[in-house]
Amino acid sequence: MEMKVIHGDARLTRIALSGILDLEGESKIGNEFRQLADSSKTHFLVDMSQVSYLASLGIRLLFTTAKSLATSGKKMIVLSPQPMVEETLMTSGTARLIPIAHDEDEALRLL
Amino acid sequence: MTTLGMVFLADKVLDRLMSENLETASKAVSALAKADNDLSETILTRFGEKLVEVQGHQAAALLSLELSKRNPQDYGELRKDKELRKIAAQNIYTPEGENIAGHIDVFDNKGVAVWHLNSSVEGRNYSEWKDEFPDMWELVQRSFTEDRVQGYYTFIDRNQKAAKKFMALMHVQGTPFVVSAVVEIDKYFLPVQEKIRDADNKAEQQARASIVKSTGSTLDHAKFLSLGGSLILLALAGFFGFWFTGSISRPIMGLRDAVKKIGEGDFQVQVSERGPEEVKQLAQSFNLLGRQLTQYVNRLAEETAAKQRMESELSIAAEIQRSLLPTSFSPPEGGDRLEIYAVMEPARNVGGDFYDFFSIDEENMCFAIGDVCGKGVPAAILMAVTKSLLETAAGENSNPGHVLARVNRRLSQNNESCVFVTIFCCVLNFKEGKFIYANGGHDSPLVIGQQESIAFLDHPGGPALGLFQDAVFPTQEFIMEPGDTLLAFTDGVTEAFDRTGRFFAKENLIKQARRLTDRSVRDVVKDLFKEVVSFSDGMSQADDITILAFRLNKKV
Repeated sequence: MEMKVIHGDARLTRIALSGILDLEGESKIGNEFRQLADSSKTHFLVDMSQVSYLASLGIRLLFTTAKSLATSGKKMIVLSPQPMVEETLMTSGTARLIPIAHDEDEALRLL
Repeated sequence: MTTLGMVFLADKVLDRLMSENLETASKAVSALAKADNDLSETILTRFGEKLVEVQGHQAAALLSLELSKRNPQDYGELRKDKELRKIAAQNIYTPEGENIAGHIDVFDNKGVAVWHLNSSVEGRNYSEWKDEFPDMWELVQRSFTEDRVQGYYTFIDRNQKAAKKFMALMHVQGTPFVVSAVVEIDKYFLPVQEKIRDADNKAEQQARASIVKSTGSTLDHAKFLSLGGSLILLALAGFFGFWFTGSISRPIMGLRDAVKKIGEGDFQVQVSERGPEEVKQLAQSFNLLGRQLTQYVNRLAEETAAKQRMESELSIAAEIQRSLLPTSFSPPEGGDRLEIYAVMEPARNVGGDFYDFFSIDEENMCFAIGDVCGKGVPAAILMAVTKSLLETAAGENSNPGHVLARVNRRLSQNNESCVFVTIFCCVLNFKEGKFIYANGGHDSPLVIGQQESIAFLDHPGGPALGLFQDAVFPTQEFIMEPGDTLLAFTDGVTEAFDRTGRFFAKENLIKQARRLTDRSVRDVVKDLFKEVVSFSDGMSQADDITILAFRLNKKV
């Protein structure tokens, strides 16, 4: 599991995740991801196009981070998830807090 | 001339004295190194025997607990039980946990192998090997009448290589079974022994170098005294020379004797740290090595005991968790109108998946399947809490939407860490064949109808429980026809993966379910579970696997 902050500006932090976001993946990036959100004053756009599997602990990581951002009025948008990951987000209901966008324009509209 | 002759003589006498004492000291150092090595082996061997015995006892205790609920006569059924097999036939690893050093297996009080890591041995009698390994057979025979037996035997492998094996045998209380824990002790501690041997060699070389250096300076000192040139001086020089050189060898000899005593089993003895500086250093070095060895053994003992306590507690926790799930699949109401079956296989000792079914009244039964986020003990605790909340909520209002909403509110309170549970819950009226269901973020179950019609139930749209305190859980209805089966599962089924990383997936689930339509519910669940395990092809189970199914055989 890898995490890259690919671009950040005053309004939006773009993050790219790749790999498998399961127990092991969460333990690799979890702290960094949460700390980034805790210290951020921007919205998060999380590119999940390279995440092939999202386990329950991965959902929890996204949810806690989105909740933390929400306390300061910021949003997290998941960008271009693979079909199975999207289904997991939709089924679990977490998409209510973390909207899903399929391209950047849609993501920016959701902010 | 006479004085010169005496000086020459004194020089020779001193050379000889030094040479003899140097040789004695050198021999003593070798003996010391050997004694130290023997000491390490003695301690490690005794410790290894104890560890193996403890592991055997642990397996015997767990088997006794597990077998109290089973028929110990039916070996065929017992061998099929994966939980029992995990306990009864397992590898014993080296204390560092890297290599296999032995194994645990179980035979009965006639010597018939009940469980063995090599399944081709199962059913065979150990007496078949009595001529090949008579010492082993003697130990096995003794175990028929003695509660605990242990000893060594020589094992000859396929390459005709001999290995000394330690065997500890102990009875499984309340059963005719005997647990056998066998290790090759040398292999068990090989990595540690290698380290000790290296340290010994290094210490021995350093000691020899120190003694040679010290002896050289002592000789020069004695020769200097002898240059005084008289018989008295010669005698004094000889005396001092002997005293100086003896002062090196005597403490070493003392050291050697003390170490021998330790090697014989008195581990508390420390050697004296007196004598010339180099010898003192040698003694200090030896005592340090001894202390380090003892510390290592103590630490290993503590860690192993803690690990075994933890494993033992986890096994008991797993047993408690299993006991929370219904295992009687005869519906309390409805008789033969309904068939029910379920399996739950945690990825670790304990898991976060659960299933449940219980009667609400004479016509209605509640079914639920759930998956707590995460794994292991934290997930197991939340699973137990959720299951309890679910039953309480269903007792107050049997509408599945209300049940999930109530459980959700309770789980959402103070849930700072955002743990959550996905649950599918339905209430079946088996007289009408109608069920009402709600879904809290769980994968939709399959409905397998007659004529091979298979489809996932619509998802009414509730989120996972614990995330949104005021979440609403809409309900939907479904009318079952006689012969219809509802098959609910957790994501451990569809997200099981093979060696290439390919998922079992929902498509495959439908395919397998279609293949099993004419089977009993029990067979559908069991075969599907086997398919998932077989698909994983030996990959470690990444998630808990749970399958719950019920079939309505007839209405009214």
